[in-house]
Amino acid sequence: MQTKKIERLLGALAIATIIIAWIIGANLADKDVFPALRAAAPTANHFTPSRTGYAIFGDETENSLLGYVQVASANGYGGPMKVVVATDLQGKITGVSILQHKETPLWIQKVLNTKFIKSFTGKKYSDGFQLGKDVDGITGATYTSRAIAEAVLKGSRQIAGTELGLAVPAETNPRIQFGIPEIVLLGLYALGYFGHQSKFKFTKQARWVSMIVGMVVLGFIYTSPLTISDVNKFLLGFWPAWQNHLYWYLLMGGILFVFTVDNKNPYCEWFCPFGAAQECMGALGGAKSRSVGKYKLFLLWLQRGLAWLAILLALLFRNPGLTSYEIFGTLFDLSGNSVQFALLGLVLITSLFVRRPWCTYLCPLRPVSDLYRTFRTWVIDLWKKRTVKTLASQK
Amino acid sequence: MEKTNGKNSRIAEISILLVVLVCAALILFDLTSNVVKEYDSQNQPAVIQVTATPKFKARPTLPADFTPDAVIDS
Repeated sequence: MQTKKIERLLGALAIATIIIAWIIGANLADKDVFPALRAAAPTANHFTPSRTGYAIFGDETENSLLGYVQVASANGYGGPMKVVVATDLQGKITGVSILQHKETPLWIQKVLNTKFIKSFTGKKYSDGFQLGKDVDGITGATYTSRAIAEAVLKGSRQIAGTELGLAVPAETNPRIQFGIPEIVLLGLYALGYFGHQSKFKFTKQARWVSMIVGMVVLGFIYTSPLTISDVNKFLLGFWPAWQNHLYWYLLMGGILFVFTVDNKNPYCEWFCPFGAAQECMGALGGAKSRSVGKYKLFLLWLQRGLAWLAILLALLFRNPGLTSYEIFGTLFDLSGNSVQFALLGLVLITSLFVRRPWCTYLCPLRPVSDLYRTFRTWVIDLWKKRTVKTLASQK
Repeated sequence: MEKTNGKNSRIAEISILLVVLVCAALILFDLTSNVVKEYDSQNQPAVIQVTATPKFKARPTLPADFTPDAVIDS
C-alpha cells in the first residue's frame, strides 16, 4: 500500500516536472532566420522584407533584385520542419536550406549527407515534387525527405503567387498513405487480439509469428518501431497530417486504446521489433528471466529516471527526436554513432543469457506504460470510491 | 550445491547490474552530447519578425564580414 502511494506521488511529481518543462520549452526563443537565409541565397548581399518573405539583392542598387526567399514549413517525422527556399525572378529554385527541424539527429544527417537538398535547384513552382516520382527520397528517412520536398514546394509556390504574381497550379489534396506497414500493423493488432483470447489454443505460436513479422516488416524493412520520440511528439502536440502519417496514428492510437480499455500492452511483448530481436538472440543462447535480487528496485528507478530525463529534455528543447536513446535504428538500419553501436553490441550479447535485457532494464517505453497504468488504476480507484460513497449516501 | 547456486546467482546479479550501469552510462553520454549540440544550435538571437512594409531603403543589411554557419551546402 505504501509502495503504491509512493509510486503515485512520484508519478505525479514526474508529470508536474514534465508540464513545467513543456511550458519553459514553449517560451524559448526561435532560431535566428538570417543564417538560413544566407545559406539559401549565398550570392545575395541585401535582404529586404517583402510581402511574405524577403527580396534579395546583389548590391546596393534597387535594380539588382535577384529573387526572393521564403520560409515554409511542413511536418517531418519529429515535428514541424522549417525550410528556406530561394528563387530567381522566374520562380526557379536557386537554393534551399533548413532553418529548423525536430528530426532525430541521425536521420537528418542521413539526408544532409546526400545531394537531396541540391536536387531541388533548378526546379520550378509548377513542377512535380512527389517523392519517388519527381524527387528521389532517402531510404530510411522517407518522412524527413517528404517534409523537405513539401516545404520547398510550398515556399516556391508562395513566392511565385505572392511576390512574382505568377499563376500557381491549384494544390492537390495530400494522398492517403496506406501501404504495407499500415496493413501489417492492423494484422498484428488482430493477431494479438485473438492471441489474448483464453479459448485460443496457439497463443505461443501466434506470439512468435507476430514477433517475427514485426521484426522483419516494422523493423528491418520499414524501421518504424515505437520510440520515445513518438511519445514526445504526442506530448508536444506535433501531430502530423494523418494522410501522410496514418501509421503513427494507428500505432499510437491502437496502443492507447487497448491500454485504456483492457489494461494490456498490445505492443511490447507481441510485436516490438527490438523485443523480437532480443528474443531471437535469447532462443539461440537459452536466455532466462534472471533475478537481480536486491538491485531490482535500483534498476527499476534507474530505467524510470532515464526515461523521465529523456522526456523532460525533449519537451524543454521542443525536439521529440533529440533524446530518443533507443538503439532500434542502429540495429534495423545500421545507422548510428560508435556509442550506439557499442550499446547495441552489449545489449545483444546480454540477450543471449538474459531475457529481453533492453526491455527489462533500459527501454524508456516501459516506464511510460508503468506511469500510464498507475494513473489508470488511480482513476479507477477514485471512481470506485466515489461510487461506493454515493451508494452509501443514497441508502 | 546450494552454496554454488547461491554464488552463481550472485555473480549473475552483479553481472547484470554492471552491464546495465555501463549501458546507462553510454546512454547518458549520448544524450548529453545530443543535448549540448542542440543547445549550441538554439543559443542564438530571436527570429527577426517580418512586420515591416516592403521599403527598399529600410532593408536590413548584414555586416560585410558576416559568414553564416553552413546550415546546408546549397
